[in-house]
Amino acid sequence: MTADLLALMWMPFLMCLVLTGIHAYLGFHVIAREVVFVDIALAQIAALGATAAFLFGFELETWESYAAGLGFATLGALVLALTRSRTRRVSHEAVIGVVYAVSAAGAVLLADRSPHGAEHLRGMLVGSILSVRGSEVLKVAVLYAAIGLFHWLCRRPFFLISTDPDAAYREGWRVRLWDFLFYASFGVVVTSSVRIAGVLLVFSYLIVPALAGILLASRIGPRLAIGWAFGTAVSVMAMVASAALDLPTGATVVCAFGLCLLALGVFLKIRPRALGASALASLRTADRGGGGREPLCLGGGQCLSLADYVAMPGAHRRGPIMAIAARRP
Amino acid sequence: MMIRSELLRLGEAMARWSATLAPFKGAKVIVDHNMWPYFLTRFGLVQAGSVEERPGIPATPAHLTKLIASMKEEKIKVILAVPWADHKLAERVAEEAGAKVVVVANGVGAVKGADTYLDTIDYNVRAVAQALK
Repeated sequence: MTADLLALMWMPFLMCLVLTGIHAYLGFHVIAREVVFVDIALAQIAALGATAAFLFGFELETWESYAAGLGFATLGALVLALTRSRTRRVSHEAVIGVVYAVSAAGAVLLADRSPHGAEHLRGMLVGSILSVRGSEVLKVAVLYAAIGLFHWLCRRPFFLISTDPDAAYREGWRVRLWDFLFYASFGVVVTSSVRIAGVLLVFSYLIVPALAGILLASRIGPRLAIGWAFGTAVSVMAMVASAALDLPTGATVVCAFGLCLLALGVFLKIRPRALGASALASLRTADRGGGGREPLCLGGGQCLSLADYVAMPGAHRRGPIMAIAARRP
Repeated sequence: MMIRSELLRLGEAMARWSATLAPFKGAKVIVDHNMWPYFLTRFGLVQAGSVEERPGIPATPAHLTKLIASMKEEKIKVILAVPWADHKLAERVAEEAGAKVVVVANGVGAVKGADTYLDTIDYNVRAVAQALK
């Protein structure tokens, strides 16, 4: 029985690790940009594309359907890049909301034209992590590694625009072009992972490990390491819980992320002083090495340590994301 | 008269369907959704399990493991699937258990070529017989 369970869950577990790898990293960007729902908007517009393809007779599993989804996601990326303004009079989250609502409604209109279109739509967004096979893990791992490499090569503009867009404009970066490249590559990742794991799981992998990293460390390197470790640990725990307690796997992973984040938050609240001191020490070390001025440092180019966060008036009331946002120059 | 001729055609078709599936009487199949109790009962086939345990709730690993084990043990080779659902999970279970997924029409027009009631049942009978061979 245990061996059979292991055989069934081994590939889904590896897929969770692959998801952790790329999403924990991308999560830092979307949190810094304050566009946490961008994945859901891009997934929904990709679903609209696949629904359109379905109307033309292309089933969900075909490459034409995938290509249509990808094409629509790229269109969404273009919209997101073009609607960014330097002055930021309106939050980008408003545009994301519109993209989401319109593509969800558009898909309903299209699904209205095909029998069981709504079921297809649902399948596209719910995903099923247990149905993952080895060949799929390999394919997705190669694709995400390529996207990761692309992001590593473009790390300077991507991080600068995420953390300090004003500086990026001042330094003469073509922000809209880089934004388009960022959202398009992000769209490729989200389109693929939502089909595999569903919207809820992808959202959790994107946001929660990155939040854990931001709470516990101040520089991008340690933050990433913590995000990856956190994502991996939660994946292992949730897989075991799902097998042992006979629970649906995807929902178990999402709830495990929520519980672990809550536990981390409570732990930090109880012991702010001890941890704050160590974070402050690490910040000092970083400053000696010029780390605080590195563009690879999230939080407005000035690293936000936990000590800063704890010391900030009203920070607890506003929550960590707002506190980081408030630190923007 | 119209109805009478329709009934005659239905009677002929029923004889044909029963003859096609007669060799497989008592054969066990798995379903993805609990959609075929009447069809299976009429032709003496046995539903030995379902991929989806509770409607709308994703299957748990323990349930799938048990299902795969019983499919291997009882040498069940066929999973009947509705055309409108995502078949990925059924495909995975079939792969683990050495079975195959057969799409069956759950109504007129659900698959290509199933434009009337008789065509629909014709299609299903043929698909199931082919898979059980």
